[in-house]
Amino acid sequence: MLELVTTDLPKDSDPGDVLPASLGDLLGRTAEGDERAFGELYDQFSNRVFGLVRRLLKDAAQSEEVTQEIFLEVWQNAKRYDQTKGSAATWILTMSHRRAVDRIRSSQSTRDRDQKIGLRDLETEYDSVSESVEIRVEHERVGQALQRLTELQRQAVTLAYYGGYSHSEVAEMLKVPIGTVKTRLRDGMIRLRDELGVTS
Amino acid sequence: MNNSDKNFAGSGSYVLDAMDASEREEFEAQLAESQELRNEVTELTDTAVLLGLAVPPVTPPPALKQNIMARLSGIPQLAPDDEPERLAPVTVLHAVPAGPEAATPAQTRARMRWYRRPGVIVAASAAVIALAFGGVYGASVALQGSSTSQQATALAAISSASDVQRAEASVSTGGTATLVWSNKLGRSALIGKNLKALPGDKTYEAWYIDSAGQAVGAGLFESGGKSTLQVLTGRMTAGDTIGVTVEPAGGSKSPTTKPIVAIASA
Repeated sequence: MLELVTTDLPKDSDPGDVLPASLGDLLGRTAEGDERAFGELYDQFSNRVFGLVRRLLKDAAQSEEVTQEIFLEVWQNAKRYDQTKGSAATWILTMSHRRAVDRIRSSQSTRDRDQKIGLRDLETEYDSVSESVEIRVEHERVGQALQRLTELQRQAVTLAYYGGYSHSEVAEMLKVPIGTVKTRLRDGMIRLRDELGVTS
Repeated sequence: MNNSDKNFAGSGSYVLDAMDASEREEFEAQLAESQELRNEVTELTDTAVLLGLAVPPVTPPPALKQNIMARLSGIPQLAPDDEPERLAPVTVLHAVPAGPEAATPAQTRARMRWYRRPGVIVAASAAVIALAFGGVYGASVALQGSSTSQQATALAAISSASDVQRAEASVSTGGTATLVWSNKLGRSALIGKNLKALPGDKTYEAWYIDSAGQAVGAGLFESGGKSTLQVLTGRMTAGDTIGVTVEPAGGSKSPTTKPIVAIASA
């Protein structure tokens, strides 16, 4: 069944395609000061933002604070969103990752967090069960694409994106020069882009 | 145009938010120079978003939505072409050393993809933070200069703490002062509106005043015209009263004049 659904998704689908089509419209109406549209946008997308933020921060209270900052920033900057430059989902999720990472870097609890998550967590990253078919498909598609990377590329990309570690932290952790990490991150992302059929 | 490998080498780190602030700045300067590099970054950003969409969604607690919705009316939406210099000016004269719980300098630059002019981005991001909370706290606050990003970041941290509180009082010599604080963080900020300008040999000084009436200095500042943001130095203890006095330039060890405003945080 999953395979059938998978084949329905265009190979070169935009990230926004897996989400309700109206996310961009809701953001457009938000830009006009429509609080109700913003509320709907929140209803549709806050679980994505919160899921990602919590994955990075682990701590529930901090994740709520950062999620709040993100949505207030969406409200404040909605007029600045340019849909010709990317989907609403891309805009919000890119901002979300950035804000979560900002919090990690600014937080004293970084060291505590280091003890809670480690490489072994990443192994189970793709075992968790998702609720909906759409999400499951995306989840599996990305999971499969990640499997196409070399072990070293996958490790670096996963530590950076899901762990929120800087490339110098990754270098320290893996005991390799920072230039090597940069190369793995870039090569890994290019491989993922090609596997996932992302085009601009 | 220089498309050397060196320039492209950072694109993975950049889209994964794995650079520190200075590396980002350097990379963004390269980004401004090269359309080819921008294309690569756009594609890799979309790829990173797919990594994000693969994370199982988690529904936040319902109270979060209520908190957010309740704040909207206080937050003005920025026009697409808003520039920091068009906002109400504020001068922050006293650079505050960031406490251990303070955030690192704001890493709030938006992506080149949506905001093309790197020159204005740093200043704009500080203004954005301050404006967001300035809106919430009834002051239109903007910040200028690089030394203010710590202030803006600290204010953002206080304002987004789960236990943030605020209280406003009028200042006996004119204007109003709003105290924003978080007991959890032990930090506070004063937002002054229309404070009287002082002669050069005088300064405003903030104080933490405990229940026994003991005052501990919390930093010096001057009126920045229409609005003044001052993140207080030192640590606030729950229940402290925050007072402001006018002191000789350079500040005093303890207050030498009667407070012009006192705001209880209890």
